[in-house]
Amino acid sequence: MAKFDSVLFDGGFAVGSTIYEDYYQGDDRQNRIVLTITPERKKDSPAKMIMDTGAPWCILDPELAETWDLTSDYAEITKLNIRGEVRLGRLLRTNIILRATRGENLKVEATFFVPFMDTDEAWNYPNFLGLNGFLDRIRFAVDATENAFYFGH
Amino acid sequence: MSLNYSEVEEIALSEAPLHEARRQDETSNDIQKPLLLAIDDAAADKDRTTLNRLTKKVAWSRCHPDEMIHVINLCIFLDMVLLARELAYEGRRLFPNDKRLEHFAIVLAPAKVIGTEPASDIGLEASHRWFQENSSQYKGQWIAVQNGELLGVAPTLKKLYDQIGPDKRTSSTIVVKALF
Repeated sequence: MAKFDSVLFDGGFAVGSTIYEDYYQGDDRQNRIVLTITPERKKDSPAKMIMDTGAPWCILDPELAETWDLTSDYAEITKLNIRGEVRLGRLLRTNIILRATRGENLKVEATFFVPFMDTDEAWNYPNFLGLNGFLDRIRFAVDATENAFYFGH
Repeated sequence: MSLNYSEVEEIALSEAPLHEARRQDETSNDIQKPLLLAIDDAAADKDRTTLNRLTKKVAWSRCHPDEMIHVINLCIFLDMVLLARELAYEGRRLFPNDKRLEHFAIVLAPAKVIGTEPASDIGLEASHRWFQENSSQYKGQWIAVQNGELLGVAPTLKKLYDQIGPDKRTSSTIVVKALF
């Protein structure tokens, strides 16, 4: 149980909380808040994502997007600047579940940018939960002293 | 064609008679073209203020949906999400049969909380511990861990799921690609 579960749940600020990881796998140079989410349609495919209020978009590894059956016949090809690189891809909408270790999971309709890859290319960026398409519509708090992430709506 | 933004605005706003004449031809877009070119220039310069201002001057109803989509894409690239959203909503209203604009209106809408459900124990904390202690040796690989136990490692996600099999692919099987 996280320290502020009772206060934040009873006060209506949060519905759930989870313990987050400090680092994304393979990138231990930067402290992060790494959460676990599950696509609603593919509950057997949970994945890790960096929560980043400085990231304007949510970005999803193309291999995961394929596993999640995340496609659209009408999605325009668009481009984003990801860490200084111009990447083509598509913006796609899906329901995801933010997993709690206490309280309740939160189901959110969110938008992800799914980049295209060349056939011989491997995507080497983390998944991101950014401000637009996800964080801008939920309530959250971080207690870095015990790696607790509280969330609600 | 290099355009001065204020000149473009002036042309667009002052040539009312021409604008009126063009109205006879619903497919004509000549009045909007200089504005659209100026929007391209502003985007190339990353001049968000001017881009935002110019989009307000365009009579989108006289443009082709492709032109609107082009400008929405410029806004997305410049992380001008609110403007992209506004244009997508307007595009959907003006061109209700255009599936691409409909799609943009959907994906650019704010996120929406659709409910909650009781949390179930999927062994997150044990799996976190495993990842923190062990994942550095698998750089560039996809890793599957369940309740703190390694299930498999593979170079692609598809190979990883093939390796662990359907029985071990559950809601508590967390996958991640360790960056290289």
